[in-house]
Order: sequence, then C-alpha cells, then structure tokens
Amino acid sequence: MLHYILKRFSGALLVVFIITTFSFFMIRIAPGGPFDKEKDIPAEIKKNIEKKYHLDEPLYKQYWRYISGVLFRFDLGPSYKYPNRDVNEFIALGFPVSMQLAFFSMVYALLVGIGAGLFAALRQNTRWDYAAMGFAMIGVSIPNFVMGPLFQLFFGVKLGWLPIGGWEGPLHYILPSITLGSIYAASIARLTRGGILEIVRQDFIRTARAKGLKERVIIFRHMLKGGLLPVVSYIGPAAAFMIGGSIVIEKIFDIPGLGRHFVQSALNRDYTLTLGLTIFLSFLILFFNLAVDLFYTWLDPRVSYDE
Amino acid sequence: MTNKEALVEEKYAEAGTSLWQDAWKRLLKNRMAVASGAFILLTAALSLLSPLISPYEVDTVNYSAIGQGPSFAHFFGTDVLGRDLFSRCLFGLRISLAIGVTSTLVTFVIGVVWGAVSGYFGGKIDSLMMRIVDILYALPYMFFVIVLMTVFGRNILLLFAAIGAVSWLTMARIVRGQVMSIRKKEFIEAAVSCGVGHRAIIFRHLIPNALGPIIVYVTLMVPRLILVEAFLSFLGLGVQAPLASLGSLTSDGAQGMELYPWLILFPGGILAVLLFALNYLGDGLRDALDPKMKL
Amino acid sequence: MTLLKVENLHVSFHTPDGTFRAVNGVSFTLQQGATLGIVGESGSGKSITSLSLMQLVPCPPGSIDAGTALYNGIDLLSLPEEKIAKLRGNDIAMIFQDPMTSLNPFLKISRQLTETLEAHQDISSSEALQRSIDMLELVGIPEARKRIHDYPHQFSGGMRQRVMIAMSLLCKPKLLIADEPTTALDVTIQAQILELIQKLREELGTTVILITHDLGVVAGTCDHVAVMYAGKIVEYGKTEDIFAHPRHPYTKGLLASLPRLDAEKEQLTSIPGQPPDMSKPLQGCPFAPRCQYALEKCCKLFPDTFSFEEEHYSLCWKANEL
Repeated sequence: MLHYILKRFSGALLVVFIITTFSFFMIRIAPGGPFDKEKDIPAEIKKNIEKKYHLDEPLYKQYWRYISGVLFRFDLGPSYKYPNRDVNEFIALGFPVSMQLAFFSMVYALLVGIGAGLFAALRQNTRWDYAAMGFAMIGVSIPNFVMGPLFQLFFGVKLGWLPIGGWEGPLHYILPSITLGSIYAASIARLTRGGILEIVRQDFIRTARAKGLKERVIIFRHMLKGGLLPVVSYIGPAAAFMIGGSIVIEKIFDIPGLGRHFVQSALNRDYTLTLGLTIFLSFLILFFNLAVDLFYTWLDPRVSYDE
Repeated sequence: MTNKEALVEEKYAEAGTSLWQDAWKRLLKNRMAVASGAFILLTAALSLLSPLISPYEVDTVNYSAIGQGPSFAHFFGTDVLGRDLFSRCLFGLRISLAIGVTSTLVTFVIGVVWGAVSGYFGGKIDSLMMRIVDILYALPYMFFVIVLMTVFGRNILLLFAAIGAVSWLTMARIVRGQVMSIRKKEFIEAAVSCGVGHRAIIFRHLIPNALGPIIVYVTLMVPRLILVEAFLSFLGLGVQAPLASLGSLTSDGAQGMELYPWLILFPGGILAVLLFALNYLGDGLRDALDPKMKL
Repeated sequence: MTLLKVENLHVSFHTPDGTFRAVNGVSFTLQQGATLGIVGESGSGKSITSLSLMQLVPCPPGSIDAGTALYNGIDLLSLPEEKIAKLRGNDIAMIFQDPMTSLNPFLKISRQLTETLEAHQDISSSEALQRSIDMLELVGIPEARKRIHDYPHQFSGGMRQRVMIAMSLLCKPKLLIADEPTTALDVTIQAQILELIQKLREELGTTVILITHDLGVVAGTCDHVAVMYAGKIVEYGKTEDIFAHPRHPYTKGLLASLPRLDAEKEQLTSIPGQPPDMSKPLQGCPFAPRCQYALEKCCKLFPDTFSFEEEHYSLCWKANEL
C-alpha cells in the first residue's frame, strides 16, 4: 500500500511538471506581453521593466529560471501585474477562502444529492422518484450565473434574510455554496439512485431480509456502503470541476478567493500568476484524487492496490 | 400426437426481441423521457427554421424601442439596444444547439477512438494512453479552456474545438472500461480464433456492444457543453456580439435583471427547459438501456 | 406434530410481457423433524413456493393470489411486515443458491453473523460474536476466531456456503429452507455440504425443506419428495416409494436421466421438449406435450389425483398403469 502511495505521489509530481512546462510555453505563445497594455510607457522604461523580469532573456533560460524556482524553493515568482506582490501571497490569501467555498458546496451537494438519490431509489418509478430526481435536475438546468443573481435578488434584496456578497461569516457561506453545489447535487443524486438500485437487486439484500433485519438497518448498513461507490468515484472529478465553477461564483458573490484572479490574470498576460494558479490547482486536484482513491479501497474491500 | 406437435410449434413461433427493441420499448414507457425527446425535436426544428420564422434580424437595432417589455410587436420584448429578443432567442437557440452538438461530436470521436484503442490493445499502449489522459485530467478544466480562449482569441470554431478537446477524457475512460470488460467475453475470443482482424473486431464487435453507456454519456454531454459555453459567455470569452447564444443572452440578461427581467427570463427559461429536457432524455436512455432491469 | 401446512398456494408475476403464473395451487404438510425435498426444473415454481412462505417474493411484480401457509396456527402469507420480520431468521431461516452473491461483499462476516443475533435476541455484542464463532466452528470453518473478521471474497465457495449455513442457524430456527444449496458448488463440496446439513439437522432437530433439481441429492437426504412441474406438485410421496415406483411420467423421466455408473447405455436420456409458457392459460395436463404416455384426454382435461401407498399420490391419468 505504501508502495502504491509513493508511486502515485511521484506520478503526480511528474504530471505537475509536465503541466507546468506545457502551460509555460503555451502562455508565452500568446500574442502580447504583460506590459503591452500599460498606458504609454516610454520605450526605455518598458525595456527596463522587461529586463527586471528577465523577459529579455531567451525563452529556455526563462523557463529554467522559473522551474528551478518552483521546484527548489516553491517560489512561484512575482506577479507581473501587481509589482509588489508575489504569486505565493495571492495564493495564501485566496486559497483558504476558495477551500471553504469548495468544502461547503461539496457538503451541500452530498447531502442533497445522496438524500434525493436514496429517496428516489427506494421509491422507484413512483411520483416521489420523479419528484426527487426532477428537483435534482433543476440544479443542472439553471446555470449558476442565473441561480446566483436570482438568489441574491430574492433572499438578499427582497427578503433580506441573507447577505448578497462577501465572505465574512457563516451566513455568507449559504447562498454561494448552494449555487455552486447544485449542479453536483444533481449528478450525485443520479449516481446514488443508480448505485442503490444496483444494490437493491442484489441477492445479499434478499439474504438480509431473510434474516429478519429491520428495513432501516438494511438500508443504512447493507445498501449504502456499496451503493455509494459510484459517488465516491465521482467526488474526485467533481472537486476539480467545482474549482472551475468557483470562478463564476466568486465573481457573482464577490468572494475573495483564487478564482477571481484567474481570468483577469490570463487576460492581463500576468504569466506568473496564471501559471502559479494553474500549477497549484493541478497539484491540489491530483492530491485530492489520490485521497479519494484510497478512501475507495477502504469502502470496497474487494479492491486492492497491492498487486 | 398432432396436438402435442402443435403446442411445441406454437412455442417456437414467437418472435424474440433484440436488446435494442427491448430498450426502445422501455424508453417509450417513460413518459417524461418521451416528452423531453419530443421537446428537443421541436426545438431543433424551430432552430433550423429560424431564418424563416424570425420576425426580425438578429442584429437589427432599433433605438426607438429600447427596453420594452413583451408585446405583440416584440413577443419577448427588446433589449437595451432595441433588438427583438424573440428573434435573438431563436438565433441563440440555434447557436447553442450547434455548439452543444458539434463539441459533443468532437468529444465523441476523440474519446471513442482513444478509449477503444487503449482498452483493446491493453498492456503498454493502454498504460501510455491512459497516462496521458490522467495528466490532462489533472488540468483544471475551466482554467484550461480559459487559457485557450485568451491565448488564441475568440474564433467560434476554436470555441467548439476547445470545449470538445477538454471533454473527451471521461468519454475515453468510459469507453476503455467498457471495451476492457467486453474484450474478455467469450464471443470476442471466438471472433479472434476465426481470424477476424483487429480493426473489424473493434468496429464491428466491441463498439456496438459498448454503445449503451456511450450513448447515455453523449446525450448527457450535450447539455453540459452548452453550459460550458454559457459560462464562457458570462466571463466574456464565449460567443461575441452581434452573434448570440442562449448562454450569452442569459448572461447579458443577468446584468440587467432588476430593470428588465424579461431579458433573463426568456433566454434563461428556454435554456433551462432545454437543458432539463436533454438531461431527462439522457436519464431515460440510461434506464432503458440497462439490460438488467428486465423485470 | 405438524409444523407447516401449506394450502392452495397461488403466486403470479405481472410483467409487461404478460402475467406468469409461477405457482398454481401447491399444498403440502410438513411434520416436525422431517426433511422434504422439492424437485423440479428451472421455472417449475419450487423456489418461488419457498420464498413466498417468508414473503420474500418482491411484490410488485409478484403477487400472492391465494392460499394459506399455517405455521403454529398463524398464516404466514397474511402477516404484516413487522410480524413476519420477527419470524425470519429466527423461527424460519433460509439459505440460498449462490453463496458468492448472497453475502454482502462490503461487510465483514462477523457483522453479517452477529446482526442476525442482535436483531432477534437481547444479547451483548461480545456474546453475539462468541456465539457466531462457535457456530462457525460447528460448520467446520478452521481458525474461526481469526477468520470471522474476513470479508466474503476471502473465502472459497464451499466455505462461503458453510458461512451461510452458520448464519441461518444462529437463532436455532425450527425450519430451515435450503434453496439449491449445492448447485453452485463442486461435486465433492456438494457432498460435504449435504452431510453438514444432515448432521446439523440431527443435532439441532431442525425441520428442513431442500429444494433442488437433482434427484440424486434428494435420495440421500430427504424422507419425502414433492415433484413440481409448471407450478404444481405432480407427484408426492416417501422417497423410497418414489424411487422404487414412480407414478408420474415426469418423475420417471427425471429418474431415467440420472447418470448411472452401472448402466450400459452410452447416451444420457433426456426429456424432450421445453417447459410450458406460464403466461398462457394451460389446458389439460401441462406435461402432455412432452409425455410419451400421453392420451387425447391428457391434452384436454387436467388429471385427477390418484393415491397409492401411504402419502404417495400422483396427478396423472395413467398413474395406475405406470
């Protein structure tokens, strides 16, 4: 098992390395540099600025400088757009917030998704089934940039119950988390329903009933463990997509997370910030996927990574 | 004796049903799925006919009719530039469907070929191909698309390609999984031992049998990709004016929600119902194609 | 003393392809301590008969259309769910055909064993664990104390079936229904499992219903046999009477198709044809199309019951002449 973890870990590092290299060169290919959009700077000064950031050096040299910084010192470089701040600073400030948003959204998605899916599966083909799945489906049909403002309008402005922006306290977490989590709640509901329906048909459920166990025990002890396996497999990719979706949410709800910076930095050609965020997030996703896979082996004793 | 023979005859005269026929029957019983399917066909027809039935051009600006609510002249009202929303919605519907279908097609082709080859040959080829998939999988999806769009400009074709290019990964994984489980089945061994070539086996035996989950996934991909385009529009990276997609119309409408609610309600509503129908159809297909649910 | 009396049981399944009448008027009486073998082909209704005793037939699509099953004066078929759940695993236990799929792969054996005890008896978890270990030893699992914490996939097929048997006997049930307990196992293991069931029957005094398609299995273990075809019992009697003088063409066919070491034939005899389509109403004797003794009468009129020695009866127009 340890061998497997190490293998995955080093694999992940390799992947991050490849992504970094790939992204590095790709963003350089784009026309325009970080300082082109500045209001007219005399050519002299522009040259000096570029020199300071080593942009006058040949590309491979810039690459090496960057890579060694990342690998040996975890230094993702300075931001080109905000001269006094390092990329690491941006990440340090934004990451905890984005993490919280992702966490609460995932919690919402899991609670609502598993609840709806389980409910629907146990009442298959009745109107409750259709209702529960229909409800989950709404989450996937209304784009979050519609849902968000609608919530803001309704709960924030009209009813005044919840704040419409910012991230100061628990009340602030509610609307953004629901908005972000809704899409995933739908997928999780579908997966849960499918997984539970698979299990319900199995012989061992009949055995459990033949032993005279109470229905509640059968559901929570016998059905859930196996039935939720597809959901667990999904959480890894879901987290990755959630990070992508957070960009929009952070914009709507004015949340000081990482996503906010991303589009702008790409448009600004702020190389280091864009790259830094990409690397950081890739690493996070890989790590999270590994954790989920390990969790999966704990859930399904038939699977083992020791071979 | 004649009676006995007759009884036996009758038994064998009953026609068998193939798996696809079974699935079709099951699908037809799911009323929501059928309704969704009908709705989708209707919207597809509408969008194809839009040049004929649109009362106005999509970019006809009319400064004297700015920000009007729904009326007989303008069924859905007008936007801040006086453009007829109904016509724009029809146009947007066409673009959104086109994007969804085209991107899905790109995803489908790349994903199926990649997954089938990888799953069929196994071994080193499989390891390498799946490695590449894993690497690409780690890229934060949205980020990658955004980078692509900012780097290469906002060409609509590129938009389709970009969206499709990042979505094929899961398709490849599903296809590979299916192929690997079918490959081990006996009828494949039989075909190989009869001397059927690799390509024939992949295309004639493996892919048709793996098709079930693939079809379901494809049907569910279309709405997902339409949404991706909508997100990009919201971020300013999607379809550019004067063109419109349901996504761009909805996100534009979101800006002026308090003053002109119809600007978000109509395109957003159409988008939501379209996505809902596509998802419901996909789910219905999944239920119908699952052979184990025979009873 | 009569333990179980089943009368006129009718069970059917409603599917989009039609209504299948799986069980068509089955009646039998079971004495305490007896072993009844129910024999028949796939689709004869033997499994459904036993599943319906514990209301384990999924309804819908199934439905118990008629009949009573009296156990200690209570009709099992009309008991509400909470009441029958108390009898399941406790008074009446069941073991199934495929131990691979009948055990929950995600839970340890210990959990699957102790939960039966905990559901029906008021004992502590450590006591439940100890009793489970004892039962595992009784059924012949080596190193029971250690292996009880394993998962099902870590056991071989024969071992798994022993675990199932242990699981079913934990609450010392009065009736054990074994639905094709050896069909999925190797022949050598089959013998071991049957021996085990015999031994436990003797030690615990359990009454057993053994369902199988294999007459050979019945020969060594059951004292009575019920032969089922198309949802009905077509012949019933003491095992030795049935084997000595079968009174139904189907039973004769089954006996003839048993492979024997002392036979001189080179080809196995089989019964030609297929079982009838249970979604269509049957006229006359359901076995007629395949029967070598069939008369005109057989295709039109359902046979009466003809009785022979003690408890031996057959539903065939030609029973007397066979």
